[in-house]
Amino acid sequence: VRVSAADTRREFLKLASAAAAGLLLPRDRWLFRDGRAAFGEPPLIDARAIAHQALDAAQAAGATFADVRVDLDVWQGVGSSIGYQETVNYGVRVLANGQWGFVEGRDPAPEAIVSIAQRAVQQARVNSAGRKTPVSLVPVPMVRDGHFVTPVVVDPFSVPVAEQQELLESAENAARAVAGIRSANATVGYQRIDRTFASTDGISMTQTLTGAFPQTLIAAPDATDPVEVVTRALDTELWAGGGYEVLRDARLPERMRRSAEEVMRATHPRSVDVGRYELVADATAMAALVERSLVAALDMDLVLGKRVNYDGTSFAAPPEQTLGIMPIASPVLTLRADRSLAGGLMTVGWDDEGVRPDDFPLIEHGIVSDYLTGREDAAGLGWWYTKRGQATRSHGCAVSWGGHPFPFIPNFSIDQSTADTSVDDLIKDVKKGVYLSGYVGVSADFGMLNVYARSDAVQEIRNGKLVGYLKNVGLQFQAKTFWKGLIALGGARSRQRVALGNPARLLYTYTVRSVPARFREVNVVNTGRTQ
Amino acid sequence: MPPLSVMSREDSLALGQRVLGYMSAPDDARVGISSGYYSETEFALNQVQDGADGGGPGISFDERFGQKFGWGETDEVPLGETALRAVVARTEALARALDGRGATFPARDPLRPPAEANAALWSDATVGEMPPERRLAPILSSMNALERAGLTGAGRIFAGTYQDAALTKDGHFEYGRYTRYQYSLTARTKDGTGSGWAGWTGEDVSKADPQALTERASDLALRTRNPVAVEPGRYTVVMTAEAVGALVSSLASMFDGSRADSGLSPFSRPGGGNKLGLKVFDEQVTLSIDPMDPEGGFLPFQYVAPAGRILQYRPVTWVERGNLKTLSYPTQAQAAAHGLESVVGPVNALRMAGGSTTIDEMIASTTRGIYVTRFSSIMLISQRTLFQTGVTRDGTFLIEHGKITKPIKNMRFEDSPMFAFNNLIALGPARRVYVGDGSPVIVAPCATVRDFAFTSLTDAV
Repeated sequence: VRVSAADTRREFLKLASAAAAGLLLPRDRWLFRDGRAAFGEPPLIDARAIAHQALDAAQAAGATFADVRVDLDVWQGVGSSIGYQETVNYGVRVLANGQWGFVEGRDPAPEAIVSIAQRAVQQARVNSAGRKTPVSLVPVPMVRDGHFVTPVVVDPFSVPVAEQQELLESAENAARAVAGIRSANATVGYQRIDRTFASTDGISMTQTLTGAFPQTLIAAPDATDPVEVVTRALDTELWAGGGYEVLRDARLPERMRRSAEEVMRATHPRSVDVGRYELVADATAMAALVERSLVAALDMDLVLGKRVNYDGTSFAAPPEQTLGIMPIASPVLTLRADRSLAGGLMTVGWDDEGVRPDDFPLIEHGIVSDYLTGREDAAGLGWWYTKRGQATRSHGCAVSWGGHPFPFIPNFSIDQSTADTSVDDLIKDVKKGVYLSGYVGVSADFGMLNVYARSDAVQEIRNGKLVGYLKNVGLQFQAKTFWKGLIALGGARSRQRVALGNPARLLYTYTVRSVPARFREVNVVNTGRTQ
Repeated sequence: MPPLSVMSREDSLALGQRVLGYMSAPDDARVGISSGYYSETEFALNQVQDGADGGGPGISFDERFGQKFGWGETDEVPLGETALRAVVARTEALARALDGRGATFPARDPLRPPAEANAALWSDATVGEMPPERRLAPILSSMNALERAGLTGAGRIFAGTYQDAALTKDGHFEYGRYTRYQYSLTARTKDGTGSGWAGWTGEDVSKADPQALTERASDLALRTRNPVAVEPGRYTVVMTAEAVGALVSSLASMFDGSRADSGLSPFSRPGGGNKLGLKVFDEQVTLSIDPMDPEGGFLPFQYVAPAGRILQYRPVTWVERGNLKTLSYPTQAQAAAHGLESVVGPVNALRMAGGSTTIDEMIASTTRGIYVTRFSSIMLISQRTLFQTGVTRDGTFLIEHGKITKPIKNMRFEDSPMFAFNNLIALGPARRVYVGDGSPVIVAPCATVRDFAFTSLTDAV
């Protein structure tokens, strides 16, 4: 169930959040060291005991398979005030009679754990009356007592709040010092998830994942329209896996000043003329377009038709007529999943089904070569992996937001051009075009076919030159035509990391290694209609 | 097995008082106590895919130390006093370490006595712990009916039971509880050319009719097979209450006076100020909220820890016969400065009053137009105009000479409720609509709208 348990629970639990201050590395890897250590309190929960009690109870109740995730999740936000969230949650997933069962809870009392495991098995038994094809899972390489920690230089939960406020304020002041800026704000959030996983396959591991999420917003009045504002945010450049160093080493004052200067250059935008324009996207815009319009279409649940009552279907279906055959983009495009990327937001030791992710190609030279899968969905791709001489396995894309794990967007990379192409090179031969720089909002329809994109940072290209900012720009295109119209990509020096996804939490966000790109003509529409 | 019912009034109060007792500055503090349980079952490809159950209690709180403010929340209630004390202590330590310079706090009005909660919000204490058998039964019926019709289906049943409470040290205490039930399904023809949807959401489980929903989705799937393309453009559109509801839901959060005054809302006046007292919609349009609304009700209070406020809701008519009557300001003083009585909102709910035309009459009086069952994949483009884009889905038909004549390919729209609700021809009876998981509580009518803008076609089914 993609709708996360968190979404369906309570407002205050909408976001998984967690891990407290104190020591970074659990000394005893099975016992969380959390904020309580600083207060001389005992460890919060014994995650290993919870996991094993749940597995034992599930097996005793007749489960043929069970896995358990135990999370301690801590989030802290710093601005002019502070916010702190801490959650404990465990989810028990079982197979009985060939059907899934899942129950989550928070009570660490042994009788509560046993009851939750038994309810999961009972749910599976009942629901097996509605299943024709028993669930089968691809095997997972054995891991016992595995341990993974996001490399962190400075524990963000240990840094004095006033020091962080001073840094954020100096960045705000640097932006406000630029003449014409109306407002500049910077805040930061940190999250740590201590996750323990164990399954009846004998797999067990702990992971401590840490992420930093600086958030900025700079605004100035639009000189052409007194109530309109021009805004920029740096979030896509800043969010990363890691600790306080993500903020400390970001050169935030300089970045915010430069961003403010760019805002001021953009305060006289011209409302765009509708028509056909060539398109150049910077690395950030390209990442957003690829993610929403291509990578999202490779979600195996979507492809198999399991999500027709929600997001819909995918054009990259069925797998037999897609994998290795279907050109869905120009041959210059190769995409790889990248969950081992150092500093990546989706970088983990194991996914939420205990699978170590590998870096695998999703699209090679414009042709689909794999999907985002978990252990259940990968079982249907055996024919393809055999043909490729590969083991049938999950590539480790499963994510749990407190509920059932499901295939989700991993970190991914877009292969760069071998030529050392820069943004200027991509622009220089464009006669009439638009250049998108920065975040792009992208909405694909429920078949991933008709796509609409909007951006706040659009410049007009005329005869190979940027000639001024535009506003009210909307792009509308048919996905397959658009991606076949990808002409060229940037080279090594134009490569950038881009953080995408929301909210600003771990396991909801991912890091894309992206390059700028040039496309053939697209429809540009004007979104400035006022009546 | 531990009890799965939400916390009672007495237990909430006792827990809240304990949390206040852990605080070092409880005189300027608030505590929220919430609990909730949910259960769901989902099917796709004509078989049950999975289910889930869960939930539990949690607390949230905020506290002010002079110019320093902190808020916290945790679901570690089952872990006991030590855990909760530690979360409070951690939050206080962080707040006290703030550099309080430059922090500003909006003024707060004194709290009013708690309002009575709407009894219609609570139907059945067992909803949240609805056993899997009770969830499976309607799903099996739906799947069997779909099989018999030669259709492929997917759908979901969701049931939740919730409780909220808020407490301050001087004894202000509010408590409320509500249930939520949802049933939705999509039926598709095996050739993939036809698709239909139906969904229901509400508090009273006994009012849900999964069989009728299944029939409606199946009927739409069969009737939408092999759609033809019509040219995009401006059309007269007959919209179901669900389609209108999707447009209405984007208005729910827009009645904030400060936002309007700063130029960032559809109720900002070009050149400054807001549109209070002006005609903003066709005169058939009345938009309101009422915690006691029998169909679109909600709890009369909400504690928002990050804002340090307990919001108390009363009935408000935002728009009456097309005129913007009031906006929400955080305090009485600010509201008075705009010549308004203080109202608290917006809230995640909105009712659009209905009219007397039935949807059949709307179709019968349309010479050439489009019938829209549902909008999907909506993206808001402009906060200022509510200009948005999305696509039609699960039942789009051509209307010719007062009759639905053929299914048509789905189309992308680019429009706004600010435009569409100025181009109203007729409104039908209003009812609670399901516009998506986790969306606002929306009551909306079916409607005929002229000059609604469709801009491109899609092959998505």
